Amino acid sequence: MILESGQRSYNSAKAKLWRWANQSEQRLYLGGVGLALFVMALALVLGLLSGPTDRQGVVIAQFVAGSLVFAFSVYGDMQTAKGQMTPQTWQRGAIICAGLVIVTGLFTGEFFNIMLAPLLVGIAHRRENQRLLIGLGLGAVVLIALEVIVFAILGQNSNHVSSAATSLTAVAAITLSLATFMRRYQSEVEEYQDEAATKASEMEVAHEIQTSLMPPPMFTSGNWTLAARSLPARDVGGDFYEYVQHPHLDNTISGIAIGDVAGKGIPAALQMAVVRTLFRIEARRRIFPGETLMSVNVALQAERSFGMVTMLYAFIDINSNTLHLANAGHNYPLLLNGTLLEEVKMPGLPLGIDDGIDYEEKVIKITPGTSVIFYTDGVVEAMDNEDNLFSFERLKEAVQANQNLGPVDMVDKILAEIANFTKSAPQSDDITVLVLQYHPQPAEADETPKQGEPVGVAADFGDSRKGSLGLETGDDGVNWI
Amino acid sequence: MALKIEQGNDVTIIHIQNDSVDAVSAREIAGASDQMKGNTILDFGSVMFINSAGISALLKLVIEARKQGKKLYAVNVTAHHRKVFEMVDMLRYMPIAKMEDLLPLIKA
Repeated sequence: MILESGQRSYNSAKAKLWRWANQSEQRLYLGGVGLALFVMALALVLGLLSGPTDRQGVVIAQFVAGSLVFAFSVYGDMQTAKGQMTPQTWQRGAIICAGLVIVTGLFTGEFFNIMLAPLLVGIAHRRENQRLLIGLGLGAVVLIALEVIVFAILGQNSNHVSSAATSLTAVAAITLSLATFMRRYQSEVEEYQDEAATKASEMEVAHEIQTSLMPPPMFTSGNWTLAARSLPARDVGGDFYEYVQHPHLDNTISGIAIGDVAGKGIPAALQMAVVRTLFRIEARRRIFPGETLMSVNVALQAERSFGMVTMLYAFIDINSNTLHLANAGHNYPLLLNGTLLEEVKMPGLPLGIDDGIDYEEKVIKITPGTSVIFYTDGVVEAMDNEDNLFSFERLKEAVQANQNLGPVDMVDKILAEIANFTKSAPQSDDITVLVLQYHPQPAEADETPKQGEPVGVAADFGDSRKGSLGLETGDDGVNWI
Repeated sequence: MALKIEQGNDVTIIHIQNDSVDAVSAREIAGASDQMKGNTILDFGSVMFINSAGISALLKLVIEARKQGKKLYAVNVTAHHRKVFEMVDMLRYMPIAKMEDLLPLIKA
């Protein structure tokens, strides 16, 4: 077939023949048709006035031929609008044949050449076959050559007026073809714009749905307050955060999780929904975060074509004021107390990469006034217009510069610092920041740590480094950095 | 992606010549896995950006290679990506080294 792409658009344009998408399309098409009629009329008048009497029959025949071209064009347009024909068949056929008429008309200007246009275009219409059209065109060239030879032998010369009229007829055909083409092009653009608007509307709804599924941006649970914001790079994203409700106490959070599905947009959003569901199920069944992540990882292995997911899960022990952390390749959380800032280093394979992975747990005693900052890689990898990264260092500086703020303000300030750094550069990845603060009642408060003391007391909990492969770093004598 | 591959007796050096590694380019690296010998060095000297899809593909590649008994090393990794590799535990399967430390391996 000459053209298959765009067929869907044309099929959807059924019954739109005389319904114009806008005024510019209407002017374009009707203007082209009008111009074609004018040129054809001009050709007729010139031929009748300039030619000798015995040539007027030829001129009328040329006009008939031009009318046929015109009729084919309009007919083709109608069939296209009904979804019964690809318009490119007509457009290409008409343009090629009209060009052929111009070329041959310069040499001969006889009947035969004029009739080539509607003849070939008509055949091309019916067969919708580009190879056939080219073959017919080549065959016509051979016939014209034979014609020239025959007329030369018979001693007849071409008529100049007839050639001019032939050329004008061809111009009319070209004009009409271009008008048809432009109309269809304009119509396609309009349809694509309509589709884009529909998709944008759907994405807006998807964004609202995803946003509504996120936990509230602020939550207070006893002595713990947390705030979170997630900014997808597109309408929907693969970043997420989750609060785990205490199984027995109302309005009490027993854990928080933050995660990032590799990729952006709809695929990441769909995968994120799956991961969140799996996590919720596993987090209700188990207490320890390492076991929970392991179970989610096993469940993800059963999913086909699932990409990488980083996730950090912090179980909050409200009795001992401790965090039990497990990390599946997510960015290390930051512990802040006063001016002291500490990074909780917990390497771990992301979910969905390999099965049978054990996840290390760390238990951290949270002292009063401590903030724990969780974030996704879109924070540190936010880029400015010169492709400079916001970086881990700038994040730490932003956290320290806003150490006295509550969770909501701290989240806002960090995001503002990122926006100030990236300026007008487009957001390349989803960005999520979550801040958890512990502020006990005065009677419960312990002493805050002094300079030089660790912010939290961290201890390994469970098997730390061995995965399913039992591999150890640096087992081959190389000095690693 | 342009990969420049050098072969030694028991070592393959793969120079990644693109400035970014994404899922597509990581698959191209994986496509060169049949050329990986017992020791393979991935040179990230030209790499400025690695997105999460690239990390995912790289992780799968290095884990599979280690399961096959091959040893992979990364050289010329930026400080930022070194930290990312550390967080996703890639260093356990593909440690970062200095090229001069690997010279004995290359000359062997």
